[in-house]
Amino acid sequence: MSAPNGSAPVLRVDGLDVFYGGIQALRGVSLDVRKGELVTLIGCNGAGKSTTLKTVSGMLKPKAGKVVFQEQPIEGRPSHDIVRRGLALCPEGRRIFPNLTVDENLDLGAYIRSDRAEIRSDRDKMRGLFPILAERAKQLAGTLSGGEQQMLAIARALMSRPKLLMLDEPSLGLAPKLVEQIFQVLANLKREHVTILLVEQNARQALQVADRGYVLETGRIVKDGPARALADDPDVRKAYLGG
Amino acid sequence: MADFFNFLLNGLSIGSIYALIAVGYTMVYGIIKLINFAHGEFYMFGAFVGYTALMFAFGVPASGGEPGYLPLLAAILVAGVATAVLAVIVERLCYRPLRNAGRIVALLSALGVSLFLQNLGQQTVSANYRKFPPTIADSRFPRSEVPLDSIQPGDIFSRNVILTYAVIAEDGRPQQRSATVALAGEPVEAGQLAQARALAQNSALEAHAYSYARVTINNKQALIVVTLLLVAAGLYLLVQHTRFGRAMRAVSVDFEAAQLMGVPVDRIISGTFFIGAFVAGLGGVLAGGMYYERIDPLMGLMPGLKAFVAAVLGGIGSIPGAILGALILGMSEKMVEAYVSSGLRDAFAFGILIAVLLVKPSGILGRFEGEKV
Repeated sequence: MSAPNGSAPVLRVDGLDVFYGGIQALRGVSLDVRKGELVTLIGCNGAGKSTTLKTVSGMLKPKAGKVVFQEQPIEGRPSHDIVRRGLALCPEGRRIFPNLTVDENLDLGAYIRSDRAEIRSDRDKMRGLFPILAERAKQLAGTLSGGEQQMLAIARALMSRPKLLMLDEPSLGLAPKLVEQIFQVLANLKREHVTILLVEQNARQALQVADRGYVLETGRIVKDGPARALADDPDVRKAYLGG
Repeated sequence: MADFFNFLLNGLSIGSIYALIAVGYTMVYGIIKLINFAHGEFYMFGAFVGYTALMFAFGVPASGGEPGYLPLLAAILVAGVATAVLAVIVERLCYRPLRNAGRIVALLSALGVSLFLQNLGQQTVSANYRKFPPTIADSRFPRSEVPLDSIQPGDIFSRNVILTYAVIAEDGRPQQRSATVALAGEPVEAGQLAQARALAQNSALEAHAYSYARVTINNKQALIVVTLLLVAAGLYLLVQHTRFGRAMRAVSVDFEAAQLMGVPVDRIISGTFFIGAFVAGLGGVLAGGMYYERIDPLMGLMPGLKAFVAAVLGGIGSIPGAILGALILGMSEKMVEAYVSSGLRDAFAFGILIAVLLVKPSGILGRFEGEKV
C-alpha cells in the first residue's frame, strides 16, 4: 500500500459501491495509482475489474464512494468530460470504429485536442510505436486483424495524451505471440513513464510488468501489494497463476 | 421520346424534393437508430416559416414585379434555421429522455410529435390551404426568344411559340400568364397574332415570345435539383472531412466508445437533428412554397412518407443511399403516373417499400454491419 514517493496519487478510488440493477458488482473498492506507476488489477471473470474501470471512466455511476483524479472528484461526471481531464480508457473488446480508417480512428483519439501540429507528430509517434498503423493508415479499421485492432485501440487512447491510461483486458482473445507483443508495448510505455492502470485476467504476465497490484474477488479487493510480492503469494499463485 | 425525357426531368425534380427530406431521416436513423416520423412535419414547418417571412418581413413588392431570388433565399435561410431549432428542441424534449427506453418507445414518441405538430398547425393557422406568395417567375428552358414584331401571318415555326405576359390579379399583384402564338408546323394565324400583340402591349410585366426545345426543364425544378446538389456536396464534405463528421460517424457505430474519446455525444446528436431539419425546412420553402405554391398543416405527411420509402430503398442510415433512393422513387413514380395510371402512383411508391423490406431490407447502399470480434 505504501507509495514509492510521497506525492498525492494521480487516481484515488475510495469505497466504491456499484450496482447493476439490484445486483451489487463492487463492494467498497479502494485503490490508488501514482504518477509513473503501472498498477494492475487482477481477478477472475466477473470479479468486477471492468466495472471498476467503467465507473472510473464515467460509463457507470457509483451508488457510493469517491473517485478522485488529480485531486478533483470525478465520480458521476460524464465520460467525455473525464477524458478531457486526462483519463483515457482503452475499453474491453477494443471498440475501434470499424467504419472509419485507421488514421481517422487516431484523429478521434485526439478529439479533445486542437493543436494540429502536435496531433500530427503524435500520430507519427504512434506509427513508430506500432508500424502496422502506418501500413494500414488509409484502410478501414474493421478490416484489421484482432491484434492489429488492439494496437490501434491502445494508440487511439494514447492520442489524447492521457495523464492516466486505463487498459481493460488488452490481451483478451489474442494469440500467445500477440499477447507477448502487447505486454512488450506496455513495458515500453512504462519506460516512457506513462501512468497505467491495467486490468487483466492474464495475471502472470500482468504481475511481471506491473509495479503494484490489486486482487479483486467478487467485487472486493482481497489483496494488494508490490507486484513481485503478489506473484510470490501462495494464495495468489494457487488461484491465478496455476499453483 | 421527348415526352419520356420531360417526364424523367420532372421525376428528377420530384425525387430531389424527396431527397431533401430523406437525408434528414437517414442521418437521424444513422446516429440514434430512430425513425423520426415527425420529419415530414419539419418540412411543413419550414414552408410555414418561409411563408411568414415572405409575407411579413421580406415583403412581396406590391407595386409590381416578382419578389425575385434574394427574398426567396432569405426566406429559405430563415426557414432552415427556424426548423433546425425546432428539431433540436423536439429531440431534447421528446427523444433524449427516451434514449435508453428502447427503440419502439422512441418511435411512438416520434409518431406523437408528428400528430402533435399537424394538429397544432390546424388549430393555430387553420386546416385550409393557403396560397404561397409568388417568389420567382416561372420559365422553362432551353428556349429562344422570338421577337413578336418579326412574326408575320403565315410564318411556319418548327416549335410552338408561346407568349409569356402578366395581368394584374385581384390582390393587386402581377400574375404570370401564357398564350400560344403559333403551333409547330402550322402557319401563324393573323387573328391569333394580333391577339398576342395586344396581350403583350397590355402586359403588367415585360412580355416575351419564346420557342421552346422539345425537352425542357422548369426553372423552379432546376433550382430544386441544384439545391439538392449543393446540399449533397455540403453533407459529403461535412461527414467525410470535418471533425464533426468524424464524430458523427463514430457515434453512429459505437456511442459509448465515442464518449470515451471525449466526444460530447448529446451535442453531436443535436447537431445531426439541426442539419437534417435545416435541409427539410429549406425543402419545405422550395417545394411546398415556391414550386407547388400551396401550403397547409398536413402537407408534410405524404412527402415525409415518400422520403421514408426513399431512405429505406437507398439503405437507411446512408446519405448517398437516401439521395439515390429518392431520385429513383421520384422518377419511377412519375413514369407510373405518365404511362400507367396517376391513381396508382402512391400505391406504387409504397409497394416499393414493401418489396424492399421483403427482398433486400438493407436497401441499395445499406450495409449489414456485422461486428468483428
